[in-house]
Amino acid sequence: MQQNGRMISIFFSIFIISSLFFLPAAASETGTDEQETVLKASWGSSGGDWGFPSPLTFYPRGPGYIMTSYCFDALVWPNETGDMIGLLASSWKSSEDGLEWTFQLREGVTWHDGEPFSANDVAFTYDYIKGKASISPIGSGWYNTEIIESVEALDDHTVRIKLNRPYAPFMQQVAAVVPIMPEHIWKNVSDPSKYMEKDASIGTGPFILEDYDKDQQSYKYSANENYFLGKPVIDTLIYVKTSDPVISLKTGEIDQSSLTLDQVKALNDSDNLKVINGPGYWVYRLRFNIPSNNILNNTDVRKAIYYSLDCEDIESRVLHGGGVAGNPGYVPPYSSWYNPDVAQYTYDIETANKMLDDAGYQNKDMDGIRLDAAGKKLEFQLLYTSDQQSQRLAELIQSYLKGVGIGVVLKPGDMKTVDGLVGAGNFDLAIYSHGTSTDPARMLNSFSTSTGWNSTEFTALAEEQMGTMDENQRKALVAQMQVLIADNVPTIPIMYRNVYSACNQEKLDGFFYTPGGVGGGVPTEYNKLVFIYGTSGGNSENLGNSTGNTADSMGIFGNIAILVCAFALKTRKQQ
Amino acid sequence: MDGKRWGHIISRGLEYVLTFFLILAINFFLPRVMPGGPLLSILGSQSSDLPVVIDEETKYKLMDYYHLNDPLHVQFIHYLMDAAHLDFGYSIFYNVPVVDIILGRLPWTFLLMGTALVVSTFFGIWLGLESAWNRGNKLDNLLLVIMPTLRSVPAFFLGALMIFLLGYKMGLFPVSGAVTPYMDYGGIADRIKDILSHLILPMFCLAAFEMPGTYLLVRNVCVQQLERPYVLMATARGLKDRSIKKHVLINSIVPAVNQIAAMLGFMVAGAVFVETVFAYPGMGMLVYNSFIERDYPLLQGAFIFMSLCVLACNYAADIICSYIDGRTGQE
Repeated sequence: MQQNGRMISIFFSIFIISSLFFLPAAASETGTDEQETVLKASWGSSGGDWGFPSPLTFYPRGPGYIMTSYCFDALVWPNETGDMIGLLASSWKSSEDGLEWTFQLREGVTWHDGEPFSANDVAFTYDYIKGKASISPIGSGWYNTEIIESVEALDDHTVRIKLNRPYAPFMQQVAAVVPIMPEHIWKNVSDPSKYMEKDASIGTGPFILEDYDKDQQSYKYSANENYFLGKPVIDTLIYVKTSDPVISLKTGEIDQSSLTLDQVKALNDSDNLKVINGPGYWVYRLRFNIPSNNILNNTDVRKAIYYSLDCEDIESRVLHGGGVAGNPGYVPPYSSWYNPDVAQYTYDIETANKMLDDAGYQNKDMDGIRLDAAGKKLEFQLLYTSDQQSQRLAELIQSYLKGVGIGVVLKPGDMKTVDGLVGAGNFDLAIYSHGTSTDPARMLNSFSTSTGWNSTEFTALAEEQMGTMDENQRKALVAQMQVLIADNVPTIPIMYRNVYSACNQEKLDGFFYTPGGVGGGVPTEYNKLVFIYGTSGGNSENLGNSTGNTADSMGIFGNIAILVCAFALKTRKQQ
Repeated sequence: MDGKRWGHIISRGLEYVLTFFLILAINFFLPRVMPGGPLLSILGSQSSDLPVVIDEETKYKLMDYYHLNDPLHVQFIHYLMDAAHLDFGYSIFYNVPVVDIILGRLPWTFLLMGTALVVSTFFGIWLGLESAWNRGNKLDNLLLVIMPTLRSVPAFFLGALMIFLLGYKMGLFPVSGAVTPYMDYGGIADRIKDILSHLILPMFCLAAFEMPGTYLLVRNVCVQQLERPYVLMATARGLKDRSIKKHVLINSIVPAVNQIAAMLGFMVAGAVFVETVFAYPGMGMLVYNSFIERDYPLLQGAFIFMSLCVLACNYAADIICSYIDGRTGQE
């Protein structure tokens, strides 16, 4: 036994000592080639795995599309000002009625595997995605191929797309979204949603996928030297998952990350990071159960609720200034479609009280909660997802509504539970937060389903604006739609959240938020053009830092070892 | 005697098979009675305006594609058949076979939970014994304060604290992930170093959380043992402290072993909090995320793996106990 005990302590000491030699080197960073510029980016706290970056396998969320857009190009793409520039297309024109679009394609473009790109690939892609819509959720959800009548390759570098009805946002929502796939790879693939071989990520894009690791939630891309707009300014682009982007940015584990405003505030100026912000097109809104709640389907009650909420104050308390207060017309003020001339509901308790009195809820119980004619309390359940912002928002709404004598019972749940209950019509009030598309065709056309408000006038306007090719005429129609929303208060847009990101400007400078978003409206700083037109400061790998780490960790391990030994000795002496 | 033991082992085995079947059934029906369906996560939340609204026909085709239109009992029979072949289908969210995802995560979970268990057991038993031996002394009192305190600090808080102090302020360890993505390893040694340096923080965090349980258990049992006459006898005979400690430890280790067997089973489940704080790619996070996405196939696959593991460990513990302690085998 004594032998045994000694063996154990010797073994343990060896372990400690060996870890001394073991660990220090681990802290040091990779010695990449001197000339290589590597940018390590992260999607922030929102997650790291967005699926295999191929047109029909990414997860149907904005980041998934962005990861795919690095490898695949669409016909056109929005630039820094939100205008469309040609990627695979060099020029384009549409017929008068907007039903026929002809694209002249760029010549001399090759796929990552060296095969030449031609108009047949474009025709193939549109047919393929349309054909696979029913087995590929992304195909049906992300690419609007339903409006496409036919696609035809006129010659090697001309392609004509016919639509089955005029579709005003065709360029922004279809031509700039659908990633062109190589026919020679995909023509034999029957189930694209499960095809994740190496060549499934071959596109014409500025980056070539080197590796996608589902378990570590990381991506590695290398620059496409032959990219037709020019070689990207960085050589390698890596996306990693990080638990805390602020700390990772400060320690240099990553160079760039999407952040929230609170995270931006935690960075200090000395960090050599450039912070940019942009419109988030992300709304927090109060949803009513209009179809089945006979108190809330009274427009005056909804208006009274709107009057009783101070959206500015709520914004400053929930987002701390990282957003803008809601606009009754639903379209955020920074959108080019925004109409300021709509009914306003500025915070006004007296008006709210008066409207509720007039609606027949003038009696109050001992707690100050209003009663209806039958003596029942005017009380609603408020559903919300239990994330930090929604929680805070729910509490504020509760206290504001209490001020006008409306009782609110808080009911938190996870996102799917809330969605499920709302879908089943089993709720009174709900807080929803989600991305709103940047184009009114998407933002407002599904408005009836996402609010439960049915207005034939509104639906007719929505249909009409979608087929109106004249931009000004379309704007007038969209403005009219916003007036209708503001007059009827089908939902209360409480605030819009901004987006923030920070980047080590020595690594890469020039990030911007694309007005109108990319890929049909994803509000992100990752417009791939930044990797072509941005500037990369250089290649000074910070080696000094990591040697510092080494010394430190040596020290601490030595300390631990000494402590442990001392403890062991002490306990032995006592015997 | 031996025949009796075998009978016991077999009857316990049958009980476990029945339990496993019940787990399979619960596993199948539970997600289906919860609100929210898998299509919601495919098509995005209905509150969102971003995805194009898809028509009912396509929706129906999609449901058909995933066999979600079949009646429940048909789905259940399909499910049992496939489970027998270890085929848990494709994850709805990740779109790859469930077994692949789980097998990708298991090694990391085993590494993290396993090392944490070894460290916490080792220190738990050692400190527990020393503490009992020195009961009433400064050392004992100190440990009795430290251990419950460690236990009551939430693991995620301890993790965040470690990240801030050791990871950021001192810069000793990487703060997230299990490896440095795309590092050029000079060789296998480099790779091991990298993995270890990522392992240390979450491992100690978990170990700090698990250790107090073992410590308190061992200390209490040892204190009882030390009161026994045989200890007095041994001391009177002039045995060395080490030998006495050895006897005391052997006599009091049984509950600790049982506890460890139970913990081994839960190892597969991972530790959601610690994994989340350190962005460690383990089972806990996988299960949590697939729950959020209502990814039925993945959730079910993961639960099956976990319950299999827990049951197997319990069964093994039963068998071992019947050998160690003859009394457990006879009823």
